[in-house]
Amino acid sequence: MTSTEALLDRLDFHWKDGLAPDLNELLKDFRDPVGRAELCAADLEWRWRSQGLSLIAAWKASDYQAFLGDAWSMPNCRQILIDAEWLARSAWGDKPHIDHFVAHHQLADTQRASLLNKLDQVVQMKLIVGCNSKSVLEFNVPSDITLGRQNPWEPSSPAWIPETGRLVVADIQQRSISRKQLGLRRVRVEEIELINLSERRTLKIDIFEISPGGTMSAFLPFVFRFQHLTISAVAASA
Amino acid sequence: MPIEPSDFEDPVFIEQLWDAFYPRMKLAVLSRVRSIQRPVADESGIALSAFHSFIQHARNGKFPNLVDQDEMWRLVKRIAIRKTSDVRKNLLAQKRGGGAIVVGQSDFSDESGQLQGIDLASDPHGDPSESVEVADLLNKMLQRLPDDKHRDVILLKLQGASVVTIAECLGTTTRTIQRILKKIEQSWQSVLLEDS
Repeated sequence: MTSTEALLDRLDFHWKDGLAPDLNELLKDFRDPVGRAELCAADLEWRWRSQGLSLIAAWKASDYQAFLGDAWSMPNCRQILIDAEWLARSAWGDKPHIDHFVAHHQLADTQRASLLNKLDQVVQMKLIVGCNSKSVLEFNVPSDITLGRQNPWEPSSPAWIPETGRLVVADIQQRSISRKQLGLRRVRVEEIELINLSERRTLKIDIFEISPGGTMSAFLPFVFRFQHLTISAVAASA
Repeated sequence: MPIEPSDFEDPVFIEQLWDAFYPRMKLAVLSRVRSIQRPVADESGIALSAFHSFIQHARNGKFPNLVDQDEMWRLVKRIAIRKTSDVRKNLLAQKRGGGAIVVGQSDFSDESGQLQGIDLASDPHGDPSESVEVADLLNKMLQRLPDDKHRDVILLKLQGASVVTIAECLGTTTRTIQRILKKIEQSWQSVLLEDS
């Protein structure tokens, strides 16, 4: 067991005992900056998990600046705290929207994608594709996928291509559907956004119309008809 | 000065204990309670029941040598944790392996002495000899893990529990669970490479 793991065990022990630990005391002789950030991240998570049970305040990443000292200016250390805040708030807190969270922390696109992937740790999103009242496909999906018409090298509809994150919803000859027609991305734990990726065509989803480039929000579970398919986006049970 | 059974008849004293212990009790049992299906149990109910038991026993003189709040807290906490275990055991007894989530290596080995969780990794509709082979392989892989905590993590993962759920069940953080899963992956990869 490393010294960081030993310290994390001590922190867990305090929280399980019903007491918020004294971080300054725990970190007193611990110099490793990444280890310090790990300990603060674990404390942040426990605080969000424990809030409401007593007078414990839920802290955000920036609240740990004083505990981290110089390590706060190291991007990897700060990222550990930001990741922890995103996950803790998504699982036990106010479930922030990715756009608001990214804007608040001024994060890059790569970090945004990484945060969205972390939502799988809270609950995975699953798609169930039905045809003629029968469920024909059921699979877990990443946080950002595309629905569209079959490419020449792809199987016929309906088909899920995990390597490219594509759901084939129409066969190659159905030219009324674009290769990249509809984007489906997760924006918070139980909310998705449907994006009409077409540049020209308005897309009809049940009673809703999405103009080219436009978006529509929906909460899980969300069921919609697309072409001849019924698609259910649900949170896979944890 | 020792605390007398008659002290536990004083409503002001009881209220002070309640204020001091109730939030801590809920927190102490929270991670354990989350492994039990609601509404069978919740942390408030268990904390309340444990506090009530403690006061009743204290009034009846079952704890003769109490001297301070720390000692009382240790007793209350032990009662609360025992109550949580009892609820879980009863639930598992009623529905064999029937909790949505089965927790703890000890829970797997309590009744049969064997790891029942392994069965979950095999396909019930598949070839029985293949299932046995998979179970044997998984058993072998589990034995290679350093401790029960690693085995609990992977067994819960194999049952489809999310990282958040595993962290709650095992009373640790998601980062620790992720670290353990990464270690297991590396360890198992090397085992498979050795075998091949």
